[in-house]
Amino acid sequence: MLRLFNHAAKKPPVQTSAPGPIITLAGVVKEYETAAGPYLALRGVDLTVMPGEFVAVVGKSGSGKSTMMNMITGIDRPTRGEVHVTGTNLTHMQEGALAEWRGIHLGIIFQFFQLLPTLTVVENVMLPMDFCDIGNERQRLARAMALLERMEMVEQADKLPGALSGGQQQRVAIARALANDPPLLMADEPTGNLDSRTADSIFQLFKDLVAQGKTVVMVTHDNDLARRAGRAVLVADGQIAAPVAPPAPTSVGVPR
Amino acid sequence: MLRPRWKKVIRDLAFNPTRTALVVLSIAVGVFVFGTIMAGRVVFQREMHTSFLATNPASVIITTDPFDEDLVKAVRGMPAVAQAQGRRAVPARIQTGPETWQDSVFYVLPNDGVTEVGIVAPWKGTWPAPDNAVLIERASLAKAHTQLGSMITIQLPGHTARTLPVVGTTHDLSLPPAAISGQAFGYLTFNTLDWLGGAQTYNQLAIVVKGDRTDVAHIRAVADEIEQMLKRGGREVLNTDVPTPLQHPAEIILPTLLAILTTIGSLALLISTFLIINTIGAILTQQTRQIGVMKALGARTNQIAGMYFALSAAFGVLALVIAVPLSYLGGLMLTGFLSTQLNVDVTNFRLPPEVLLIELIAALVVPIAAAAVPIRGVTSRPAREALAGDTAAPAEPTAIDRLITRVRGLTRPTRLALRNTFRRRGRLVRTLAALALGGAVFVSSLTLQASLFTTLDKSIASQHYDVEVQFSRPYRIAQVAPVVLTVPEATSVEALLRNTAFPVRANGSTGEVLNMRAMPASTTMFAPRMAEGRWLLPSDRQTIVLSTNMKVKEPGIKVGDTITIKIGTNEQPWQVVGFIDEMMPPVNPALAYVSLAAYTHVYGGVGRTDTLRIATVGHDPASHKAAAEALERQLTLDGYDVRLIRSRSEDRAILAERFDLISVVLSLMAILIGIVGGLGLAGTMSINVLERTREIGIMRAVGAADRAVRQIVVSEGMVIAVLAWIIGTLLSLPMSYAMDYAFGVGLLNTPLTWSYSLPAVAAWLGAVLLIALVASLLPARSAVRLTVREVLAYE
Repeated sequence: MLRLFNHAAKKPPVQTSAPGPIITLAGVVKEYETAAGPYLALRGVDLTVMPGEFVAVVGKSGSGKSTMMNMITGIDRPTRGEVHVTGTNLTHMQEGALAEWRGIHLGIIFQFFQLLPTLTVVENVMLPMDFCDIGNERQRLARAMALLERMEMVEQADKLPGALSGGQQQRVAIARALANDPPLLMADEPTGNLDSRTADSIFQLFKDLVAQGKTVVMVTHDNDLARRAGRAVLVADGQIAAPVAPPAPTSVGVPR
Repeated sequence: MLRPRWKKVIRDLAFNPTRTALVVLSIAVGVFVFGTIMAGRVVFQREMHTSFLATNPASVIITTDPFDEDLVKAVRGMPAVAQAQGRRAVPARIQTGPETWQDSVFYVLPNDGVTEVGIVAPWKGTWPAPDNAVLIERASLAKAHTQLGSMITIQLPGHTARTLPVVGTTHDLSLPPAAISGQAFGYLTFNTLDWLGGAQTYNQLAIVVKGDRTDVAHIRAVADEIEQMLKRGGREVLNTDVPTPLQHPAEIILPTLLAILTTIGSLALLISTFLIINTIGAILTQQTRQIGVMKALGARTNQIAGMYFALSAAFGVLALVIAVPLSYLGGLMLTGFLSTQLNVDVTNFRLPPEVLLIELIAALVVPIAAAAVPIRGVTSRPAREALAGDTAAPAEPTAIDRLITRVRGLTRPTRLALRNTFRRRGRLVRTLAALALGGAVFVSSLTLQASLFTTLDKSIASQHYDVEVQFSRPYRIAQVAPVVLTVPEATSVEALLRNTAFPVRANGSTGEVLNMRAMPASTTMFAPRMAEGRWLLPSDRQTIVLSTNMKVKEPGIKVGDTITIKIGTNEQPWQVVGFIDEMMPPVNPALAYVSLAAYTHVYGGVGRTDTLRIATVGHDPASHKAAAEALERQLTLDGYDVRLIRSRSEDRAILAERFDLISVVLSLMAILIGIVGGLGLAGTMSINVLERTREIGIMRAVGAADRAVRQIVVSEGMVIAVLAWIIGTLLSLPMSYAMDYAFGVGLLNTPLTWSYSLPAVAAWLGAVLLIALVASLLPARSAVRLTVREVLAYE
């Protein structure tokens, strides 16, 4: 586990004994107002994810899996129900507080990588540390380079994202998601834009991270990948169609 | 080491040079125009004021019977007088062609050239003036058709014309520039004056008062005291002139001119603000997804807002780097232009700190303030919406959409172009506002220019005579009129008398000098432009018509009042029956018209005239010139002492020359404001196309040919241009009217005859269409050059 600097003061310690769930969705309902009238995207979702789990959320397009992901990341708020993530109740938090919380507690990986095009690879990785005021510039650079090395992207550190392949960009995006050493990684169709070989290598990276104590929740429509995750949750019509009881955590506690 | 977020700000500037250039230019042009005007204004006013003060200007100038140094000493000894100096001002004429003459005034300088009051500075050549030679005020050289080292022919009224050398030039700030006054000014010694036929005596007292030199009431009180002293000594006071204290004679035209320029500068800044809102808004829209990503990575709203405020400030700093040196140059040129026109030397041009501060505020605060609304709008958007991007069209069709759908005969691309135009209404409104304001100012400036000349023509047209002959002394009408009519070019003649008079106030004090004209009540040579009341009637007894600037000089006078007018020592009551519009600066002496019969009844001189107004066969400048020459020849041959002959064409030329300065400045401003507006359209079109790069890719993917894409983009530009032109034209109607009114009343004593410039409207249409074509074709060309794959990958 990378531990290049200490920002424990900014982050509640992760419990190492008798851990509680890292994600709890309780009766989450999400309703959108559309031109055609109200649209129910989530219809009372209950979900629990334990620390160290690798959960794949699968479902068809429009099933509500991305909405569920937005609930967990605090990118969107439920109409009803409660969302608890890393011990924080997100349900009534303000936008600013949510952003700050996100920066420390979770890393997000997007389908289209979403690297900032005008920043170099290493600068993209340093950005979350910059926003969360973690470490000084030297420490941030050192950590970013270490993460890139881990992703085998050191040689690309000074390139702009546009010069990289999709797979390389996704590796950088993963390094960026790990920048603030969050306990939870949320990946939205992380392999959806990649060829199968690259997708495999990215998936392997997630497995490695889980082995190192991270919790990974991956939204995907690829059933093969979902099957290879620790647990698969099927979402259909805004509901969890096949709730699966969480297995025992692969590793208890995260040495941080 | 710079934090990544600030690196992003810098790279956002560097990686989009076109966009950065557009925003920076939008700000820079506004700041440049504003800075140029402010710098020109501050420096010129300061330098003009300082230079003028250095001449120790007279507080009051009293013209009286000839006197010598003893009287000057007596006045100097008065407790309220700080300095007094005797002067001799001699009206004369300078020969400018075989039979053409320039009205002029010569001043006698002491032999050593040293003057205490209204100091005349040597400029080039010999100083002081030797005998039998003259010095010419440097701004009068062109008017006198002469130059240093040339010979010049001067004639004093009633004396022989003599030729003498121009041995030097002077700089005299106490005089209005020759182009504005219409007169040429020169200097000579008493001996030279004697040689030319003038008397070696003073006729003017130039006085500097003790105490507050800016207090007009105090100066008038001192002037009254001196007048009383002169009268006690049996002298007649011919004229008492109290110029605006410590103000250069040309300074009077500055406030109105500078107010108009400042308004135009402020409008340029306002237009620039609209453009900044548009471009920064577009950048934020384009980067909405990036903002969402940053939020997802933990960026707080204030951190993101800080980045975009820094970006706005950086645009401002870059604009400042361009605008400050340019406004320095612009200010230098404007000051140089004004100083040449107004005969003032600007020796020390530095960008005033206050102007620099204003530019700094304008360049930094304006974009930051302008960006605040779009920044707040985008950064406060929830992360989910930001991540989704902001490229969606309005969900609900608007009334305009429905209208576009209903209109028949439109091609699909045209329909799309029209819909696109109205898609981002906020941006469209700001673009239209910028372009329409630019157009309105452009048309208004050129309308003001046209109105100036229309008013001038109307004013000249109210004079139904072609040539005016002024004599050095009165002659019998019955003798001189037939002589005039023997000249083949002359068709009719009308005689009048001129004099200077003073209004007498209720408390016995006298007001400013009036130029009195006594003419037949049923004159056919003058069609007065009545502002109030009526013209003189043959049946009237002692009635008077005044020019409207009399109301400024003696507030409270109205039609029906009876005022006391003094000529010499003769005070008479006159009933005011009307006010007429006369095109002249309000500071000029007011004109008073009375009937010749009433005038001669009261003041004598029945059957005599000192001024003839003559109608000629031809009415063009060439005919006027020929008639003036023939009249001069005939009258001189018959022994009449002609002081001045001037034709209507010459009067027009003198007045038109005064408008040249204003005309040039207004045209320049019109062009600059046009550039600002055009830049706005170019910017908006580029942004619109850039934003729809993906959409264009989709259209091309489904079969749209390059021509169709180009047609959509160009049609959109044309629609915006035509809309802006219509709004700008409508806006220019009240704007030009208001500008004409303010300018006319402020500067020329009469509201200008509004002469709406249709050529300007047409020129502006051509300009906006051209700008729209270029501004939309360039991004359209870039868009069709991209491959579908590139366009669809565009983020």
